[in-house]
Amino acid sequence: MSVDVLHEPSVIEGRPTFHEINEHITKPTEVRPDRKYMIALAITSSLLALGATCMIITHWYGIGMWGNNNPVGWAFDIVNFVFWIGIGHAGTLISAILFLFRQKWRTGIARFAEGMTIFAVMTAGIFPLMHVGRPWLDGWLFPYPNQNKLWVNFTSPLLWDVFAVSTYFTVSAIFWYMGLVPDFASMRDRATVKFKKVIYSIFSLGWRHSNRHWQHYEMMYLILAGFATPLVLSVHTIVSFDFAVSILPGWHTTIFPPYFVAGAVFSGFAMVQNVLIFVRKIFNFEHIITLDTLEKMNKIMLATGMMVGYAYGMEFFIAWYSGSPMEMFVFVNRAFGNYAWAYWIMVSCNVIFPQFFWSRKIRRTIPLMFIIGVFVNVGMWFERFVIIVSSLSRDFLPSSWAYYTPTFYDIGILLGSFGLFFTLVLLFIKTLPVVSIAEVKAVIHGSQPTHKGGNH
Amino acid sequence: MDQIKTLWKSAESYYDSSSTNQVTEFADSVTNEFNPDTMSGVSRRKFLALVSAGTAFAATACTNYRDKKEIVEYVNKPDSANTGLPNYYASTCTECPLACGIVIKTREGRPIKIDGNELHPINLGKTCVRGQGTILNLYDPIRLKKPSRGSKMLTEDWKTIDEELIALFKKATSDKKEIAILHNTIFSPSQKAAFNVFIAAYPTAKLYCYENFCDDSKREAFALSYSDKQSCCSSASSIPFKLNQAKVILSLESDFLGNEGHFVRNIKQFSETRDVNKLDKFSRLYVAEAGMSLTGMNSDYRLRLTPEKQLDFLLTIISAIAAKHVSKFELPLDFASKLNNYNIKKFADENGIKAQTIDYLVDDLIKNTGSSCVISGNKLPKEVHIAANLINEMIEAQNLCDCEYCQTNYCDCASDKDLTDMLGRAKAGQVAAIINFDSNPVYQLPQEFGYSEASSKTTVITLSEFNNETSSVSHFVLPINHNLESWGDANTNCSVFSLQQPVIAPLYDTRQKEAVLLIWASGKADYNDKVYLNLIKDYWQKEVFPKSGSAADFDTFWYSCLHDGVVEIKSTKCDTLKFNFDALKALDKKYEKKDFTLLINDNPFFGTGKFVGNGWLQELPHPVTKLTWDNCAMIAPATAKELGVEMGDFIEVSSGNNKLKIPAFHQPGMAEKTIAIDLGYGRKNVGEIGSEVGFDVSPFISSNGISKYIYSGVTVVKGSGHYKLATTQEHHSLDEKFVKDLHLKRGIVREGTVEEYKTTPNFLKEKFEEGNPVSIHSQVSYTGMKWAMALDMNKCVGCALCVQSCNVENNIPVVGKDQVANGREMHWMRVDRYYSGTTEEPIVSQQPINCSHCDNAPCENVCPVVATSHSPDGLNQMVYNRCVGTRYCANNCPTKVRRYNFFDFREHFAQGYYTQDSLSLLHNPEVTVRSRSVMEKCTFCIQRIMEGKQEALKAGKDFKGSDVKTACQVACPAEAISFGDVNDPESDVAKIRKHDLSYSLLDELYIKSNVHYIARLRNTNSEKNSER
Repeated sequence: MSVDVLHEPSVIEGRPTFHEINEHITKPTEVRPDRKYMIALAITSSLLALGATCMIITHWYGIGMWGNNNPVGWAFDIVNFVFWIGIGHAGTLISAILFLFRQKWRTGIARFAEGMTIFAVMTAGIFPLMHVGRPWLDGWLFPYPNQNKLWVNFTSPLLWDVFAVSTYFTVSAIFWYMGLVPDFASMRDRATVKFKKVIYSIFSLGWRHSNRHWQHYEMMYLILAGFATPLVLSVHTIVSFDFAVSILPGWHTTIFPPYFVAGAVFSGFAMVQNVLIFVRKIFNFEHIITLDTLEKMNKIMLATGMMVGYAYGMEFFIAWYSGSPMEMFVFVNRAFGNYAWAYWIMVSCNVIFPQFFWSRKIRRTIPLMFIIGVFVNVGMWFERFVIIVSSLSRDFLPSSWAYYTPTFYDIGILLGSFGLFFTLVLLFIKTLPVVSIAEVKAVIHGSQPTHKGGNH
Repeated sequence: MDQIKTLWKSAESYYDSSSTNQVTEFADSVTNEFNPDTMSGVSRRKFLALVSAGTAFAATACTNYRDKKEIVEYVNKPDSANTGLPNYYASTCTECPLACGIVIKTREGRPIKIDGNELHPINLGKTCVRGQGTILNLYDPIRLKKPSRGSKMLTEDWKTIDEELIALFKKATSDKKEIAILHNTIFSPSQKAAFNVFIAAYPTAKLYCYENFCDDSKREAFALSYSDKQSCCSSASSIPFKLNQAKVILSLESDFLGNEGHFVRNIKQFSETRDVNKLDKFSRLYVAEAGMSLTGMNSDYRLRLTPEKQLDFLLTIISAIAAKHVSKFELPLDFASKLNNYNIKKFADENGIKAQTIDYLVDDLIKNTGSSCVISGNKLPKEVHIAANLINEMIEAQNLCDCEYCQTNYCDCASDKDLTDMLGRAKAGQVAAIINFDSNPVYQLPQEFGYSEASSKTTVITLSEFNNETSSVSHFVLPINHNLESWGDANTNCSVFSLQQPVIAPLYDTRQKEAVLLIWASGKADYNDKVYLNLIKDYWQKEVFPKSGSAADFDTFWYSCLHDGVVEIKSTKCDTLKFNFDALKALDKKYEKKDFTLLINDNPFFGTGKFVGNGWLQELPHPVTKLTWDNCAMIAPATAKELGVEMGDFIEVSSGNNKLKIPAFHQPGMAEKTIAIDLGYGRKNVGEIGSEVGFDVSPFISSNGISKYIYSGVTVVKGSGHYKLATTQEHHSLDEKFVKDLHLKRGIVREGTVEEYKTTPNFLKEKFEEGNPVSIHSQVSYTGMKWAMALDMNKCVGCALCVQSCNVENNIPVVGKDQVANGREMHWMRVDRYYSGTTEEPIVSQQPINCSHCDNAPCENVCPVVATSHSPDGLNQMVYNRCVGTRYCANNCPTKVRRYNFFDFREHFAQGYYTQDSLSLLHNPEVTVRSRSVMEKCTFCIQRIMEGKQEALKAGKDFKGSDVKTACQVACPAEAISFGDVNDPESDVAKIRKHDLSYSLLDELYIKSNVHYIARLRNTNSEKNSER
């Protein structure tokens, strides 16, 4: 079998014309939502309402509504925060890092992944704001000059979090919006309803597809990609500092920054893969979001999953190698102690199941990859649960150990976070092009001059 | 401005010059038309001021600070009440028959803290958890506020009731019908006199004293053993030992450190013999018991022995001592011959005890003749007490007898027969009235006595502070003054007389209970609250003053007694008691262990249930089980396994007609097939806090047992269902390998033996040799004062008094059972309890823990808003107002001493129980009441530090560390807590830090803790700990 290594297979299947692309991608935003869409929205917004209700009740009565107790000061609140921040990582990775590496297959999924980043960070951002018992004082976490001459504590990782997450959100949002501007213009040009036209006109910032516009746009996109790239690494690094900087055995680990980043990409890709499987099916984007693209994502999941697995193993090794009895205890306790069930859920979902992706067949079979993707997300949620809750529940003094059990409110808020995320995703699908029209046009057959010939 | 048009775009603009070209965007400069007078008179400065004031007003209007209250100054200020300054009054706590001398701290006229009176020779400046907690009872919103009539509690005024009752009593006298007064132990001579006055006025009146839990059998045995009593001991019921001089103590099922005898004094005296700096005086404690008690937890040797075998055990010891022929005390021949059947090996084999331990015990008792003693528990039958008295004679324990302070007896307890006879007469309608004088017979008397039936045939008058089971069957319920609103006196130990004085006017329409009797006795319904005071004064003038030998006049004497709270009258030394050998006849008795044995324990916090409505005490962890808000059936883990009963599963206990369904609690160290249940729970009609808490074991009390509190042949089967028990410490199985002995492996608890310490004084430092951690940061050096604490684990017995005192001092909220079960109790101080060894023979270690105020506090650097920081004098401070509640500090605290307000607990607990008006008086005004979602923790009583500093400044003295005593330190009866300036080389804390046995927690983290511990030494023989 001879393979032409120089031949780059096209990322878009078939040979759609520019007009067809326009038609196809903007279609979901131009037709009335159908019954299925409304049912989906009803489910997600009900979950959102449940979460909001639980949150309001918590706000009214206090953190006591949750299961958190004395040794376990953080539980679902911070687990959810880290989980959602992790989900947000795929978007920026795809749009920024893969862009810089000229990975063309990203074009079909970049917009959607970026959108998910924004929504995931929005969802995540609620948790640190609400987990403090007195959220009306959240403003104190920002360094602003005040008459009390009170300043924030720059040695606290929680403060670094505030900066890291807000920067990440801002840059991701700008990046996303920048990419949307040409598409807004296309939408504006297509819009027939005055109301839509006005809105799209405002957001398209007067884009006229001129050569100058494109030049500026490309440059700006490149700069923002360069700007966002370190953020992909820094945000979860800093989130991991919340734990690594503390003195708690099981938290105080130098492996956390790379381990958290790998884990975040891992879960982020799983979530993007899961959602895209639905999107490409429902909106007939199979030729744009191709099976090849999904397979590539699965490969990344396999790679990052093994990084995470390596980190799990390395934690045990270091615990043993350190000779610290407390460290050793924490890891033995994770695997065999009171939260062993959570640990083994984590290991099987994150390390064992992704191994199936070694098989090309499974990598290309949609139902199987979907299931594994779901497992990865469950596993990654449990990873944060294991790290946070099991370490806290059995720390230095055996006298203060206690078991944490979530309450109705904890679970309600967790479901509510999914409700918020998916509600935003659903609204996004119906209002904005979920695939970048401009970028896809650039990667279809014949759009770029080539010296390889033979293909057109 | 008139320029020539040079540019025009359209005809319109060309012609209409005014609308386009003439309007320039910016004026070139100030023109002549500018006239400052036409401008608004408000200057820029003024404008800004108005804007900022307006914003401030708007902001203020938006603020609705919920805890806002008004402070109103006195209109007529009482002389002694100075705002902001405390007053202290000496008094006597009359909540239990121990009648400790107390000092009450009042602020603005309201009592806020109680501590022991240092002048009192019995309780020596300490008081128990009940004494500390009684303030909550004073302010309890459910106190009875007005007299009432009938079961519907119709409010009535005192005068009407008085008139009615006087008429009733007069009629009873003329009809020759009995008036029965039911009361608990009398320890007040004036109260006795008041009863006498009443009985003199109404001769058919009769007084019945009873106690739900008392030392009846001990008294009886004492009376039998020493029938020819002499001199001052003629009224003595028993004589306490001077434990501070004891070298060897054998305790038989006696929790003398937990709740028996004067346990506060016992702890104090016992801990004196546990001083690592006086090793020659170091005592050895042997405990033989079936239930696990606080005393057993502190023992050097503990023998698991069912109560049925106690008599055999003592006879074995008697025989062993007699066999050595060292005692000067000769046993009668017939008795000595019976002893041949007993030998140590046989007894040890039969009961699964190491013979060597009993050998050691016998050797120790003989070797330390004259400085050893046997203490038998109140629960045990009189035969065991007689045998114990006999051993005490043989080992010359009378040397240790505290004859100066032998116990008085103002009223013999009514026998069961007296009570049933009286109730029988009542049922027949021959009793005109039953007066429950601050007693609760419906709950306290066995049901079979039929009090409830009798109550419908007579007039029941209940004098009580609170509603209780009896008040619901009473015809009249009369509210009485709280302890702190009352006059009174006490004479519990023969040479000690103490006075009780009110420190606050009655909060409600309540009356002094003795005064009520005296008014009735006077036959006229004119109340005068001085009437009882006059009687006390009278008594003191006639009885106490002459004996005191005071040179001053009575008034001076009286006021000095009132000031001191106590006066000691030195009596002549009492003669030695002579043992009466006739008593030995009782020792022929044999007890057989059949099926299960039930032990009924006196609860260390509630006594017989009077205090169940007290949230502080409900939430104080039981010293052994660490259980709150419930009692349970303590059962040996092995027995529970046989029954298939898990922790918290219900078991059904039945004996005779009595049945009780109660959750089981796996308690290491319990004798097999034995269950122990605390008395005083399962109360009804006592308000929201105390009602239906726990399970009532009192129906089991009958005359069919080995004693009133021990029953053999009890059936125990697994019941259906599971019950949630709220403990403050997770229960780990001792079998779980990888968590076993973690406290020892991690060096959290460090222990050794006296032997080890004698041979290698720095054995501990050798055993736990640590590298010297170094910091990459520059360390703050504290050159001025630096506060620190030290806790001596040899002295600490784990009584939880420090916890209670801290609760009262620092306004610690009660959170309720559900919250404790979820690990959210708010206690700033806790006593950790660890087991090592086996579940059968556990070795118990205890450790009080509060905030260590680490120099490198891990909590401080993680707070994003700097709400917790270090003071220059070494305190880790918490700024409540700045706290946003991230809980990060608590996560990073290695000793987990930080407490988070998960709710506004004052509102959350029992439907806002704490927010009721009277309870706002409870709080210490020097300590902030924390709001929701704020982190809190031990402050080293910063309010006391500040007060000490102020006092020193005022007096112009140098402020010394020893000027400050923390609340826990003051309360600790063992004097295990030292506090002070560690930079002062003369201070106790500085010395303790240099001690060979001192260590601090988690040094390897380089937190530089400021709480140091002195490692506990166990006074065992040369064998290793693990071999015990």
